[in-house]
Parts: sequence; C-alpha cells; structure tokens
Amino acid sequence: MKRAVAFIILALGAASAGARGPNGALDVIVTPNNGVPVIVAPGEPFDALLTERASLRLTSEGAARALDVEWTDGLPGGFVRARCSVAKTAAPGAYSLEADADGRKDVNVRAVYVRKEFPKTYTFAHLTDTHVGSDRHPRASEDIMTAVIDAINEAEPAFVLITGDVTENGEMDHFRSLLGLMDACTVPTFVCPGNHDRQSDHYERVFGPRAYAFRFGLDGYLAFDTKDYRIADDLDTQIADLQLLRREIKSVRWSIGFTHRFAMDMGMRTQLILFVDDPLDHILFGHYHRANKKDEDEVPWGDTGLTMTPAGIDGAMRFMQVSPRGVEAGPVQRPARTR
Amino acid sequence: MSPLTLLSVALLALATPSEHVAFVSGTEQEDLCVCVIDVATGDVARVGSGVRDGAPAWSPDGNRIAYTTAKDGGLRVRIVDADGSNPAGPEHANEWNRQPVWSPDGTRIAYTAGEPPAEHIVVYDVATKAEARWGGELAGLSSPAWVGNDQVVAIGRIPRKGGIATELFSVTSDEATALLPDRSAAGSYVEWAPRPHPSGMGLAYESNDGGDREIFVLLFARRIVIDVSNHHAADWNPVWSPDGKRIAFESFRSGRRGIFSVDPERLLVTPVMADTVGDHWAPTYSPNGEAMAFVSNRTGDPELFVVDLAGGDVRQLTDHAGPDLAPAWRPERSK
Repeated sequence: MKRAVAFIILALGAASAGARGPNGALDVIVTPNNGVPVIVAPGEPFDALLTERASLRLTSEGAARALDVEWTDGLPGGFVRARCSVAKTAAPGAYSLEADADGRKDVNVRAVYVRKEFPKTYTFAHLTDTHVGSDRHPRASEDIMTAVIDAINEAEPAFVLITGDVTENGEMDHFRSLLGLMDACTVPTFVCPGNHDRQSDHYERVFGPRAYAFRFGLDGYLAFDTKDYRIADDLDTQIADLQLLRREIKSVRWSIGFTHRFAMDMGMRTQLILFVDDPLDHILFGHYHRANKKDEDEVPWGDTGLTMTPAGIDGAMRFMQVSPRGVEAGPVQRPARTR
Repeated sequence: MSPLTLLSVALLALATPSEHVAFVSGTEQEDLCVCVIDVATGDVARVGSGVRDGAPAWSPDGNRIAYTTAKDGGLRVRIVDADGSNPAGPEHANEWNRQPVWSPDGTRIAYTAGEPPAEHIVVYDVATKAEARWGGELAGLSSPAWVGNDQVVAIGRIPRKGGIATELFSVTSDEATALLPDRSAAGSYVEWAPRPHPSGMGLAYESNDGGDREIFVLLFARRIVIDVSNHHAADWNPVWSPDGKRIAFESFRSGRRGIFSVDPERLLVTPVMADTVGDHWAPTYSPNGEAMAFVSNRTGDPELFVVDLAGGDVRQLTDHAGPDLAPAWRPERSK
C-alpha cells in the first residue's frame, strides 16, 4: 500500500510538470508548497498565499475538489491570502493545490495533507545539511538522499523537518534536484533555509517564506532563518514575523523551533523572542555537521531543549518522538543503503 | 488625517524641514550601502562602502557618519563625511565591531567588539585614532550608549541560575559596574536597548521585568525605575524625542509591529504609525521633533517614510526594489 501511495505521488509530480515555473520557481501559489505544506483535518481551514486571486481546488488521484475561499487582498508586496475550507468529507492523504488565474494554471504538488487524527504521541524525522549537488561524499548526494527518503517512507513518521543547507550552493539546478527527491517522500516535508541555500535568492523563489509556523495537533512548530545572524539586530526584517509567529503558536502543548543554526551571536532580538520572553520548548538545527555534545551545546537563556543532528551528506538523520513527556531525540542513524 | 491610514496620503507634500536622513539601501544584504536622502527633494547620495553596510550614526555636529561595513569576514567601523568623502576609521584589534555610537562631544565612538561570550566595549578616539577597551576585563558587554562624555551604559551578560541574563552596566575606561541593585532573588531579567535621555538625567531601556517586554525609564538621581509602556504585547526599541518629553517605541499592541510614543511623565501612550496590514519600525525624530522617519513594509519591500507628527500626514521617501533600512535623521549642523 505504501508503495502505491508513493507511486501515486510520484505520478502526480510527473503529471504536473507544468507546476511551478520551468526552473522550479513558485508561480501563482506561493504557499502551501512541497517545502512549506499544510497539515489539516477535514472541515478545517488553511491559508494559501498567492500572487493574485485565482480559482483554487485540491486534486488527488485525478479527482478535483473546488475550494470555498475567503480572500484578503492588499498584503505587503501585492500578495493575496486565501482562507480555504477543506470539506468535512475530504479523505485523508496528500493533495495538490491547483490554481487557475487569468488563463494560467499553477499546481503545487504535495502542498496539502489531510489527516483525521493527530495523536498525542508521534514521531517526526529530522534531516539537515543534505547539500544536494555537492561532491562531499564518494556517492552522489542524490543517491544518498533517495535512500534516506526511502527509509523515512518505511518508518512513516508524521512529517520531516529539513533544517537548511539543503543545497550545496543555492543553484537552481540543485533546488530542482532537491524538489524531485523530496517529492518521492510520502509524508509532508518542511524546509527552512541554510547559509548555503542563500548564496542566491533562489530559496525564496522555490519555497517562499523563510519563516513560518504550523501546528500539528497539540504542538506548534516555527521555522526561521539564521543566515545573517550577526547583523540581524540592525537589518533583519524577519524579527517582526518571528514575534507574530511565536504568538501564533503560543497556546500549544510543546513549541518547537527548527532552523539551520543556533549560536549566541545570532542576533539578540531573535534570542529575546524565542528563548527569553516566551521560550520555545525545543529547538532543532544542523549546520555544525555533528550531533549534540554534552555541556558545550545548550541554549543558555533558560529551559529550551536542543537537538543538533549531523549533516545528511552521508545519510545521517534521526527520528524525534513527541509525547506528553516532551520532545525526545532518537539516535542518529544512517540507512544501510547509504553506507 | 489619522496616521493609522498610512499610505493613502503618499502623494501629499509635507512641510518637513529641508534635512537629511542616513539609511542603508541595497538589493540584498550583501550590497547594502549607507546612503543619505534629502527629505525635501528625495535626492539620494551613496556615501558608504556598499558591502553589508549597517548601523549609520551621525556625529553630534551632523557633519560625519559612523557605520559598520564588512571586512575579511567580520565587520569594521568606518567614518565618512556627510557626502561620503574623507573615509577613515579604526584599525581594529577585533574582527567583529558593531553598534557604533558617538560621544556627545563627538570626539569618540563606542562600539561592541569581539564575539560572544567575549564581546566587550571599545572606544575609538577620533583625533588620536586609538582604540581602547573600556570596562576593565569584564566580557559579555554590548549595545553601548553614552551618558555624558566619560561613561557609557551597556548591556552585560551575567550568569543566573539555570542559564544567563543581562543587566544594565555603567562602563568607564577603567571598570564596569551594575547600574541596578542585584535583583536575582526576585527573578531573572533580560534588559536590552539602553537609550539615555538627551539631558543625561535618565535612561530608557527595554526589559522583560514583569513578564513581557516593556519600555522602562531609569531616573539616575532618584534611582527609580518606571514601566512606561505597560501592555501585554511586546514593546521594543525606545527612542527619545529631541526635547526628551516623549519616547517613541515599537509595539505589537495593534496586531503587527507598529510605532507608538509615550509621555513618560503621564504614561500616556499614543499611536504614531500602526495598522494591521504592514509593519512599521525604526523611528527617528527630526531635530525639531516635528517629524519622524521610519521604515515600513506596507508596500512590499521595506521603504523609508516620513510622518508629520502634528498633522499625521505621511509621505513615502524611497521606492526601489530591495530594502531601505536603519534610518537616522541628521542632527542640526554646527555653524
């Protein structure tokens, strides 16, 4: 059955070759997309960000379902927001979000996931620093990531967090390869940028916002960018979004941040928002290409827990368990096929 | 017209003084450059290095600008005339140098040097071109602000049970001492953004004392602290008006990041620029206190705007693809 689902999703990806722009860049639909998807229960709403108003529908396995939409116009930059209602009868699974705008069709595959149940205890996968397009490992980065995605599909976690440096140097070809690899994943994939991804502006063109939040059942997740961390207090335009996003997930059981790096010189304002005034319960990141070491790795402001996962260039990843006890890191593992 | 209806009045001319605002502008972070815009004409001059420039700060006489710019993987402080000529600056002992602020007499510049947890306050003598470490050997000092010409207030990182906190420190050439009594028994507070009153009689700063982030005023003579912004939404980045009678600050009390001001004696908060569509931040008063420049992303990219504080009319100053940030209004120039 899992193979069948994977096949369907792969087929959807292939059938929607016109999705995104020719380079893999986003078109009419900015979010949700396959790096910033939504997970929603039947009958619940979700927000989509678009460049213009459009006729919207969800599609899966060849069937299309039109969406009722409430529009908000005039967002900064001329964007519009669509509050979409998912039908109470919608079947669980992965959906593409399709838009018809003034004769143009846009398709974001793996953008919307419908779930009936959000268990109190669940697992998610943490993958980071995949450096797709690099020659850092004797085997091709694409082969290794394929093996990792296969292992994730086998384990069926609730979703995957991929915390930056997803490409070697932010080239569009690397992002295009990454999109193809991610679309073999049968669970939602949430991405945030790393310093390597932001050597150009392609990250925003492929995935849209660099900071966003989502809820999974009782818990809230917050993605943010830490590339320009040292001068962030002077110039960062992300901090207002962080304050608002942190407030958006204030009333949750566990608040969990995911970013590319944590460092004490990452910008004081970001630290005040996320670790001082309303501390996250846990933060996940990569960047350092190693796992946590006792004593020297900690968020010094208070009680925020920390999980650092080694780079995925050799297939390293781990599963995290979230339960009423908290957020617990599983051991770093490497799928056998990556060795 | 209410200032809450920001951009509908973008084409209105304002009776603002013919003055200048320094800011940073670019197409991306890597090419940000310090620029100076004539508020009346909109003419823009590039005066910086154009390599990750930031934090422009006018000398008190309005003739020079200190700013930070990238060098060798770090940041250095540069000083230029208002037209970009005569570039100069310290030969730094540290790779990272941030947050430059001029002493009131314009003879020195204080900045944060080094990297956490070893960052400290360095003072540069403009005449002798010498750097000196202030505050003794205490590490973890940052965000300096001058109180008089021989003392800066800075944020000091201190150990607390279960982690760290920050406190306000008085920093001189020899030592650093805590400004407030030890409150560790009552809780762990994190202070930031100290801004001395124009007369030097007190200090505005932000703190999570009380739970959420608020603007406080410390009166030096009476050694009392007053919460002047008191709201459950976050309040940040206080900025004194030139006459010292109001404090502008950023707040999320209207839903998004907006600019408010408070009369610290009457504790009366009024909105300056706030709406639910875009963010408004980085306020800087004109020298006569009648206008304020700020940044807004209401039209997409962060752009500079100016608001007439008496009438509420708003005008967009910049309009180009890429961010315009960190405005600093030029002081009245010395004759």
